[in-house]
Amino acid sequence: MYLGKLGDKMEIQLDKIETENNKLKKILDDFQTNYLNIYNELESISFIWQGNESNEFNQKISVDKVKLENTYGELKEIDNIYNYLINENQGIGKNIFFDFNKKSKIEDLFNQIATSIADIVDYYDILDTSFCPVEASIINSEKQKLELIEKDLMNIKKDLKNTLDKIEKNENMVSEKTSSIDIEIIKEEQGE
Amino acid sequence: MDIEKMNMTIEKIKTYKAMIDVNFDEIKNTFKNINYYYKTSNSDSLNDLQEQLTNKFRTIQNIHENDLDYLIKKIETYKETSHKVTQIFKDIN
Repeated sequence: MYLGKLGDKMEIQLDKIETENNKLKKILDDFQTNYLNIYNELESISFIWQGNESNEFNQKISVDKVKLENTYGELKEIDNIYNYLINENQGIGKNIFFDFNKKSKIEDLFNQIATSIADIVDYYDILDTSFCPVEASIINSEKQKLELIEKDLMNIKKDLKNTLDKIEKNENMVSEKTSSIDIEIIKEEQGE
Repeated sequence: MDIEKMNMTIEKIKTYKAMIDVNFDEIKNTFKNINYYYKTSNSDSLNDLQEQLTNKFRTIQNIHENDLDYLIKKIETYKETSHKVTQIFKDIN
């Protein structure tokens, strides 16, 4: 899998993309209907006009039709990319805003907080509370709360990492799909 | 050549061509809107593809225009030739 470097800030407003993509599908259907109609009419000319020039024209029309069909195919490939990013990101959220430059900083922050909590718990453990049983009970309770907080923090960190990894994977796949599209260049033939 | 049918066919092609031109403008606008809502490191690549398709479609539009011009010219040539032949026969008679 191609793993390119993800850029800085990312903004994906998925619900709006989905709305536009639904419009795109309808327009592409109309586009196909209309270009097929054009070529049906152009091809019907062979019944109205016979001769060598008509035959040459028909051959040219056949070639042009393929060019337009390929163009439609290329448009559908872009549509498929949008389908992919909508489907794969749907489970993450309607809107995704993130600065990937901050990813490692956020992970470090989680680790720092977890380390601080662990240090505090360690200090609690070495406290001599043999002379104050009431306070010892309170301290023990607070220590357990901190341990739960640390556990929750690590779970949140894991979930966040998984989500960010998924977003990166999706973007890398979009990059791969985009790179694989090769738009055929066509040249206008010089007229008579 | 059936000139009447040719003219009707040309008018239909012009209509469908106008519709396909509208479709492509709509496609361009939709791409532009999607690009507004999708900003990542892939945006530039997608923009490039869309730009290439826009340029390609302009060429296709020109091809259609040339086809229509060619057919119209053929009708005119046929009419001229037909008129000349008719005149020659009239002169003979």
